[in-house]
Amino acid sequence: MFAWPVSSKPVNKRHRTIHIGLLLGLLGGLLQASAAASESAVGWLQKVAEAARTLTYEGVFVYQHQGALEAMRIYHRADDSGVHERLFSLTGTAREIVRDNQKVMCILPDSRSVLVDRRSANNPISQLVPRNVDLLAASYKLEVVGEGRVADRPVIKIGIDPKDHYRFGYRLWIDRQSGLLLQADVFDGNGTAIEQLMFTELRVPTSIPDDMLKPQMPTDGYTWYREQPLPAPTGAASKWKLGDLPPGFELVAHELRRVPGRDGVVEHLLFSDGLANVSVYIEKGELGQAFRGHSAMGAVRAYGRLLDDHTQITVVGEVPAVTVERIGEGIAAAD
Amino acid sequence: MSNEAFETQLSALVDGELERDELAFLLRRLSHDQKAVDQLASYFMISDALRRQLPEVMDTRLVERVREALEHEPPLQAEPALARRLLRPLAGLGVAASVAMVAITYWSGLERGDGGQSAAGFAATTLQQQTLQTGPVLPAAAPQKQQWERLDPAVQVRLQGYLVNHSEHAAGSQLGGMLNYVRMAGQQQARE
Repeated sequence: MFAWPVSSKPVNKRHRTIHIGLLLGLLGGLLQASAAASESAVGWLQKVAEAARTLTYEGVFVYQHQGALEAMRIYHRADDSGVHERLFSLTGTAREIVRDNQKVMCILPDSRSVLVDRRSANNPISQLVPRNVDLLAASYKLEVVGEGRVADRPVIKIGIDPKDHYRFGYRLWIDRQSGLLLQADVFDGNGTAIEQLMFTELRVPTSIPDDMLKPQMPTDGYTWYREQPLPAPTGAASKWKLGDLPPGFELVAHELRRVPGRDGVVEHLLFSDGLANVSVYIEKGELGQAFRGHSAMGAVRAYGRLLDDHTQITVVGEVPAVTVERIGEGIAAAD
Repeated sequence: MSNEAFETQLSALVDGELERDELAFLLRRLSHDQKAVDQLASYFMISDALRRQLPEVMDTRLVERVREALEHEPPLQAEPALARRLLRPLAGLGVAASVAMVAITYWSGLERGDGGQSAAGFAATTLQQQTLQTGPVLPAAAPQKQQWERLDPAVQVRLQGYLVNHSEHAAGSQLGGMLNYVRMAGQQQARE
């Protein structure tokens, strides 16, 4: 077990120069691999990330989880003003999520609430290249497994198989022309599909009007939960230490955050295996209703435990339940 | 009636393939079962999504209009053809609901992993075998979990806040950002 210093800055910012150098080197290496690399599974993942950052598109997709099937529409505009996105459900409970360069807004009528969080200022390079290709290769087998058609467009199919039971597997169908992700299946350790998303319709217009990117749902009488400004960093040592992490996972960021819906400051630890991410939130103070045990939303698993009467640990990530539990159980008070 | 049997009846209703006595029973239920009407409207919508026939502008009062129409239609006088005339124009969606049911069965079969005996189940099994033949054999044990939407509302809000935050700060990864928002938008209220 080890302790780590508290900072209001993420780990990857403190090592930004080193990381950018490594990533540029990696990017250069990948480019030098020319056509072969561009056709590799990693090359296609790069195309997916770049397409999400640079392409304007609109479409309808269906999303299956827990035996339910829902239809949704998405508008996504990328231009000189940045990325703007509006996603809303067409069936079932009406929900709408709007993102721009500054914030993300989630309108949730069933709970009559609106969550507003600050957008993350991601390093653009990190969006072009998988976070750590070596880390990714250690935990997954990636390969191009076939071709097909989705939404009447030719696609390339990528298989991402985990090498142990601490992560999920994926099948991705990627638009050959644009690089957009048109279908994604997530599998658990038994090979059972736990979540599937498939575009049925996709258009790539030159632009999308502003009106289509603004929230449309009425929010009168709703409770708004906004992220509050952070206090100045204290530089104090962390009061927590980590246990043994599941193989392949590394701590990639550790920050103090404000989270919508929570009053106090929350310690946030972000772990990654190069593809899947797990967040640990440590919250002290008046907790209200505690969260203990396991929960799930699609492929997202959550695990909660109380370290003491005033400390809630919540682990959230798109990984199996055993992974969030192992990480959560490993958190302990530093000596 | 089991939920699966009811879903099958809904599909048959939209396809106009329901027997007369079943139709009367189903329309009677639809006249007072809001969830059933919601489900029927969803089938139309999903079916058209799969067939790429959704209009640019959606009628957000679809469910209400279906219900209102049903309230004014004596169930016992309804014929299959009437049901089609009644529902399809209201939905504004020319559909074959069997497409939606096939999709639901297909994906549900995948999730259950039971393979089923229907054509859709067979297709699901085949696809599952094809897509997973390279997958590892992994331990099946998983802790008992409670579905997110059945948690205490205060805990739900807390977890949603965490998920939004997680999605933003993990968005450097290739898949996490958008998929997590799809999960939030696709989450439903607890089903009975």
